Amino acid sequence: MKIRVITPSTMREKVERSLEQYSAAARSDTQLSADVLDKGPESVDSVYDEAMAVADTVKKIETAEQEGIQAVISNCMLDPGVLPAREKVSMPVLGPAESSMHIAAMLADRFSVVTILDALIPAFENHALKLGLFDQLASVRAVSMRGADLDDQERLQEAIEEQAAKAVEEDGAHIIVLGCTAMRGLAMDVEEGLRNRGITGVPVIDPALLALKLAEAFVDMGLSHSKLTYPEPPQQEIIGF
Amino acid sequence: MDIRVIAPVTSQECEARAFEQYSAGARRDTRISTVLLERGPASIESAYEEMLAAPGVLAQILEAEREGMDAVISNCMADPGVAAGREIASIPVIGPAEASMHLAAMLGERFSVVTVLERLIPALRRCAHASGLSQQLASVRAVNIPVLELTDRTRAATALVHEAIRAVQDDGAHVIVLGCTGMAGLAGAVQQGLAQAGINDVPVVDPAMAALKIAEALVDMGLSHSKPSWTDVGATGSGV
Repeated sequence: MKIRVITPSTMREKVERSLEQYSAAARSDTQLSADVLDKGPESVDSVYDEAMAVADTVKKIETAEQEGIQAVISNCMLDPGVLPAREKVSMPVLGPAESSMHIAAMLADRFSVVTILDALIPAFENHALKLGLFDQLASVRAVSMRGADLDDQERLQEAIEEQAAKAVEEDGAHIIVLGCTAMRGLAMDVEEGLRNRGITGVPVIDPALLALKLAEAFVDMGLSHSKLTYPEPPQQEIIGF
Repeated sequence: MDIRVIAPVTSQECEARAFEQYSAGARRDTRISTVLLERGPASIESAYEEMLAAPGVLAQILEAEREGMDAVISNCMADPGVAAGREIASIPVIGPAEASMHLAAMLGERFSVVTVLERLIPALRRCAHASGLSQQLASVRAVNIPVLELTDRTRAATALVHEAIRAVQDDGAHVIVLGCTGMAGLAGAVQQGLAQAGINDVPVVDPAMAALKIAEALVDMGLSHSKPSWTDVGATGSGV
């Protein structure tokens, strides 16, 4: 099946990087492709950045459907453009936050999200509220590192572990959701780090890879979003796009 | 990967049908095996029967893990033995009701479940509440056909389409969940029936397939249930 990952960023190197990231979990019969934005922010670190990323993300999703892609993932934990794109296309459009919060709620009584910046905490709380999963949200914590600074993997992992441990010990979390898709490939390491701190049996979810797994599941099942929830927008001229 | 499907009943026909349906939906790299219960009800249509099925399901969950299965599914919309099973196993233990309701909540604003009998409506509502999805539940409806009579596929499909149309038009459902694993394989027919009534692009979720696909996804990711949520009781199998 054909799945496209769209990173809502204008940095071209993210095409290669996201392909590499998602390949780690893609099935052998999944053909991955990736794209980034022509217009928008370098990385999404705020609700403002998200707003600046949405329009081109939606256009890229429309293009993907025209090219015969069967499912699309918006590769950012704020799920930019996911809801509006579902109105415009008929294939499944997946967001890492929605996907991972639902599965976290299935795998545990309460989950915590460990994201990059404190400024994003309200956005994740609102997301859980919107999904109806607020009761299962133990907390949202942040490592206080910007999206662009996440290349220091060692420092990042240490910081995530520290916040994840606090989420379990102080907030009552039973599962951890990594709160940024740029926290690539760290889920297993964080889980092990928690074990080394004496916290066992607490799963850590990589939201990007989970979105991919659900995309594959929906395509397998021949399911897509309800058009009653996401009806086709009325035809009209939209200037500038 | 190896996925074990437990038919939580004593009916061999149910087990055979489960094997056929799960095998049809499984990925090429997924091996499906099925088992049924030695003791328990022929079908599950009440809390009473669900409870009588649970001990056998738990024994089969232990056995599945012992045999090296990667995940196990309790193939009934009452999710019998699922919560208790998570206390005795470390592999993912999946219930079709929980799995299909979460997928439905991802696919649309509100979903309706169409089950077999009126008497099961409260239990399915409670499952939605327990999953935190009360607000997304538009309604639970019943076709008034007992599980063991679902073998008449034409009658079942016609009744399901009738109730699904009412769920959309009267209750505001945007997604339909089939409310019994005995309805597996009918999602396409229901979606087609809705389309013939002018209701297009309303997804119909087959709960058995939802459970299977979630199981495959979790195994791929190396994920299982949180142990602090279902603390191990250290069962060895002697009690069940």
